[in-house]
Amino acid sequence: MGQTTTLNSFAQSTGQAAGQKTGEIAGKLLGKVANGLEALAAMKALSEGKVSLFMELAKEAAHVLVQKLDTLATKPFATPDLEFNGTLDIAKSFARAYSNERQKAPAMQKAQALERSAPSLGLGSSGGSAHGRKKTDKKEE
Amino acid sequence: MTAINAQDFLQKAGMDEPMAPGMIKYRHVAGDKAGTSYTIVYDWRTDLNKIRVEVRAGLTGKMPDTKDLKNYAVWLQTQNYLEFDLSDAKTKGNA
Repeated sequence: MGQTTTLNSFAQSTGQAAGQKTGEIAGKLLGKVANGLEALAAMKALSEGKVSLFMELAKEAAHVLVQKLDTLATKPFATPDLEFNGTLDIAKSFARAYSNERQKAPAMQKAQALERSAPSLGLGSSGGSAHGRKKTDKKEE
Repeated sequence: MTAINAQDFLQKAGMDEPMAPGMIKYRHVAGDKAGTSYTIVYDWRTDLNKIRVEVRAGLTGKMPDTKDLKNYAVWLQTQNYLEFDLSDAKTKGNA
């Protein structure tokens, strides 16, 4: 009897000690990555048999995480002139705008030249040009 | 991230009874319709450094085979689990 009491108290103290350990939560709810207290609340709802509540909480838990990840992933790329802490690098911004203008200028000139020469080349009609070319080739032969 | 210990984790995941490493507990929930019954498994035995709370379709406590999963609700066919990782655990107290 005394031995059983000792074993019980040992198990209890071990359990209590282990219960004080801290850690990290990870998992999946409805097949999507979810963690944090929202996910725990969803699991509790499920243990109480409240499936509809679980659905709502699980969606929120998964959605919140996805949203956080999206924000993290898109922030540096939202505007390339922004530094990692969100401040605008003016020099970088000007340099990029200038290079963009320089890249655009030759392309615009080419487009304008094409537009001017388009009527004489017969580029306006689609499909007709290929047939026309074939005909001229035949004539040349 | 919010600091939480194993005891809190279990309580917040719906396990009211005390648990210790090496224990595994099942909670059966019978649904109203066919294919909506499920079991929540609180597993602190498979890996002593992890507490895994998993939802398994059916009342057997074992995950059904893939061919049998179609008999259950869609949400039970997806993965539903949470793991509490204690591997880098910081212990308060005398353990």
